[in-house]
Amino acid sequence: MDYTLSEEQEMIKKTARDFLTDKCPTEFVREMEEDEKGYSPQLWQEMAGLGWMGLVFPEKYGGTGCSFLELAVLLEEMGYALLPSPFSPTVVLSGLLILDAGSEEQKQKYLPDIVKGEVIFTLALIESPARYDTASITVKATADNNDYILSGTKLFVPDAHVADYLLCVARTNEQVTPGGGLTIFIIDAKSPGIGYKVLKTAASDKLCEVTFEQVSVARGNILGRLDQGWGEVEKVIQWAAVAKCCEVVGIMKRILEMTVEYAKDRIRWHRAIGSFQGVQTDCARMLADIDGARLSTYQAAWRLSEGLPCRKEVAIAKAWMNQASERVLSRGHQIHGGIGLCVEHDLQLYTRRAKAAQPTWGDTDFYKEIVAEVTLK
Amino acid sequence: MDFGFSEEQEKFRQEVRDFLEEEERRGTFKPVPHAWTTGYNQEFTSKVAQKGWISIWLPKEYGGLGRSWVDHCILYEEMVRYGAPLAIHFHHADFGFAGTIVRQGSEEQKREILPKILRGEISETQCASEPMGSDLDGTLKTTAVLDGDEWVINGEKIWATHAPHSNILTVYAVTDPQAPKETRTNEFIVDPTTTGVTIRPLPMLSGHPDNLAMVYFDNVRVPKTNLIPGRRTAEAMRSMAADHAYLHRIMAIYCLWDAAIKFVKKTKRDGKLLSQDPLIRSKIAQIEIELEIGRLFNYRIAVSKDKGFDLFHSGEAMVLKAYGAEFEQHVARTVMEIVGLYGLLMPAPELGPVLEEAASAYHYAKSASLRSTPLEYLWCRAAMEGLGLPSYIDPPRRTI
Repeated sequence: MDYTLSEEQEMIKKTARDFLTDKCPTEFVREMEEDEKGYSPQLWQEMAGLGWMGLVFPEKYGGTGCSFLELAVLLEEMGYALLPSPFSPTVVLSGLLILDAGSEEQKQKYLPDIVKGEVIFTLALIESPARYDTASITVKATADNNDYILSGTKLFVPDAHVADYLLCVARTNEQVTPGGGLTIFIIDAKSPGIGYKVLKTAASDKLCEVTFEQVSVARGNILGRLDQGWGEVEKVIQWAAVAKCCEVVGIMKRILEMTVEYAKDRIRWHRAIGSFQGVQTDCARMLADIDGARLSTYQAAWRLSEGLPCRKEVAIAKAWMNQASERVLSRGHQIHGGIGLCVEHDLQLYTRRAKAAQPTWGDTDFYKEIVAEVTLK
Repeated sequence: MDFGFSEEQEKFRQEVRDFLEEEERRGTFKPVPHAWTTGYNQEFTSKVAQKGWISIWLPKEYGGLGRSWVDHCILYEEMVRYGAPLAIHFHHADFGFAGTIVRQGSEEQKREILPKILRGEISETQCASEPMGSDLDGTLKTTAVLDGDEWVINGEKIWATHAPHSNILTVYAVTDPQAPKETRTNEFIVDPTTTGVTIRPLPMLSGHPDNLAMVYFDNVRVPKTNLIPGRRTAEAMRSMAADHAYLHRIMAIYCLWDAAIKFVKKTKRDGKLLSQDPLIRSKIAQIEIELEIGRLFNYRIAVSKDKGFDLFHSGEAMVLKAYGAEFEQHVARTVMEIVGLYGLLMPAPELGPVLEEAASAYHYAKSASLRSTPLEYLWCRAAMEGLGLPSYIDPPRRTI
């Protein structure tokens, strides 16, 4: 048992902290909220240069072959800095999926480019019912000689408007099968018939609506097995949920730092408000919430890295993160007072993103049901 | 990072479980929630001692097994899960008192007391708190005055846990009233049968008649050698309390919770198992989530303690205790919601073993946020130690 980071992980953390402090101040985050692309291609290249995109991929694809735990450390720092980038969609939602489900040919074709920062990928999964289940998926892929023809609409697709490739989860079989009758397709994002609309979101995080109108995809672009895609999707949801938790741990840490700083400086009735028991208790509870989030998140990441069963641990990490982040962001705002609600203040940059993370990749009820299922089986 | 138990640790856990299964089967004990602090069973304690499982953390030079705090947690996690009666030896003798003796005891005290603790022969009660004075801020009123070769103790103590069942009282008394109030206190070992000691049990709303007591000292004379060397500061006392009560806090209610899970899996309401009711499932999941977080807090502290970490000056330790207390109360509340009207009965045999004590456990859990250190103190201390927030007691730093 050891709850500390290894020397290598500490190094990743420090490098990321230094780099992002320099390259990703909150002015940059604000700039990217208004930017059409929502990320900086130049910074993206520098990130690739640091080896971030290749961190979890085997050396034969140009990566460094680290585990999910090292990725977790990096993601926490990205969250801490609020880094706007298509990193998670490319590496976690897509790269890890290709590594897990792809043929050797597909891996050779796509992973080295991901590692080099030359392509952006994203995953088109959710549709209008806005749920993480098989029944909600109705985008249809119909066989047509050597191709499939896709039609339908996907929602909440991160960074689709700047993606080079989409991994699209589509219905290939109306019959309910164990895999859900779903198949994952690798699609050139510039294919004719695909339309993009960036949604206006509270976190300004470039989620898109993607429409497919008779989009033709070659049969060879099926990722994994025909009709059996849901098993892979379930894995992606786990990775994505843990990755999101890592980011939010970083975000929450920053919220607490800002709040404690404020509580030490703000004077009321001749004293720093941080000396008042009510404020102290709120701050300490924030600390407990964040510690719990960090420990449960790293536990899940560790189990993923070790290839151990982790259905319950992932569910606990994300459910706790959802509940804890709500308390942390609310207490942060309460202690900051009115100034924290002003757009000019940086606090809202963090709290909007913490809030947006809660329903993403599984809300509290979604994961509580999994916890109940495992506990009561 | 490594969140797993080693093979050896898993084996140890299994060994403890096997022992408990066997003793429960033999009828040595009957599982009861909170038996870790309310169950007095000398036969069971002696059997635990025979296994070498009292003060397993004690270094080999003192006759212990020199095991880690993680092992200690594994041991008690299982003991508490099975609702075993640990009141005689756990907490107080096992690490509170044994810890004090190892850290500060004279050679003679170590020689005499430690082997007895290991054999399960010592049940100790700490007499620290007073009705009108607190060990938190060094305002204790009980005094000890040297008269020839004896100390003469006068005063009254409250919240003396297990006092009616103990064979040793450790009494905090002021030995030097002129010293700064933070450093005027010493500890004394007192035989509760000494003339002048009166123990008055305090029946509590949980239905336990004598778990806590008042202890009065009226010209109680103890040999000079009963003084435990080393003057205690208020902070050192708190530090000891931290040492002895923060770990394991999360586990106090395991037994009741396990029983509740079994209950919902076999109880039907409106022709449907409770475990299939979405509202019950949601409650179960919420506690399971909080339980896992608490376990992580607990083992984090155990690992830190194994590395020689100072628990008192750590937000993490305060967080563990505060969180654990609130968790225990949340579990008790949730169990009462699940059992409904049967929660009115004390006991409610209809609910089966362990769960029949739901009401008692609920009321007992009220003490979780008060014992050793109150919740408010813990959260504020966590804010000061863990986050560096200023103390309200300090003079105002700036004026307008």
